[in-house]
Amino acid sequence: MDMYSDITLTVNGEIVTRCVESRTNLVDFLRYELGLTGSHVGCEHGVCGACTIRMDGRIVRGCLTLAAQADGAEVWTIEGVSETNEIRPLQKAFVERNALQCGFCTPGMLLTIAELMERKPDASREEIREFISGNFCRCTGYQAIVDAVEIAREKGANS
Amino acid sequence: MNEVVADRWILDRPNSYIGRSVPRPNAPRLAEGRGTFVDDIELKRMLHATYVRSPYAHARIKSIDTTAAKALPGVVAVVTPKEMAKIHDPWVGVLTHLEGIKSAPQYALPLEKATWQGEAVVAVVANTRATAEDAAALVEIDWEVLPPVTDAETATEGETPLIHNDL
Repeated sequence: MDMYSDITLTVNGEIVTRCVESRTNLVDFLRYELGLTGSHVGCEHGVCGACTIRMDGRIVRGCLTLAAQADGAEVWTIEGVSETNEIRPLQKAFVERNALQCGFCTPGMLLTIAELMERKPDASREEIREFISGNFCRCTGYQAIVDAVEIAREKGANS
Repeated sequence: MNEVVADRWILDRPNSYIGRSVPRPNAPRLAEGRGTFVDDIELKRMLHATYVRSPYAHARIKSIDTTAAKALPGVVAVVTPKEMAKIHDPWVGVLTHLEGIKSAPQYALPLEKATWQGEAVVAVVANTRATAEDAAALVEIDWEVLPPVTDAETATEGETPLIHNDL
């Protein structure tokens, strides 16, 4: 592969064209090149889930995906789904249930849960825990997060 | 919004936190990815530092060669323990009100030997994080591997290797 790659992709609904170092991963591209710092970099080897990003409708690890792989893709980050209000009930439930402290894991956690709520709207608490098992929270713990998912499901229907 | 203001007023009084939920005015911002963590801050002419770390739990530093790392375009500084020691005093973690506490002088970068696996030994500063990591990979450290101490139970026994010679 060449040292540099020209890529064109859609990020949060806007078309973006850049020339990137081929080795640049997607989350670094979003953070450094586009200034979208809502996606966080934790472990940098696919374990912690802080860099979770939606690409072509599925969540991916931003640290294990190259920006070059996102050429032609549709990418959504926490900034985008916040502006479209797509996950507003979930965000409100997180705040209401205090399902975050430092907030570092929260954007990745929210995108992961958003995918679960779409794929399996009636997931049990166990299934929610299983689905977010790739998103580490080191301060709040998972109880309040699972509670927030349940609150969002109850309220989401009427909001 | 009135609710939040009322909560704040309640929490202004002494001991008013006890038994109450504390409002989190910053939580909605964090839940939208609009927080500002240190890693999110980008300043003009900002540089990135990374570290060459010890692959051994206990090893003497025989020599450090930074020539290739310094030659890489974009590298601003490669700092060895000896250079770093010129600009700081070692930290000694004792509490004056607890007599008898001992603490080996701890340098930002260890002068003689690494005493745990992953200890930062050489600091590399460059224009970008990627360049700093490229340069870190070019630093050559000649190690003399020493026996590690892996059991806290036997750590103070006579035959256990000494990790901190100053203690």
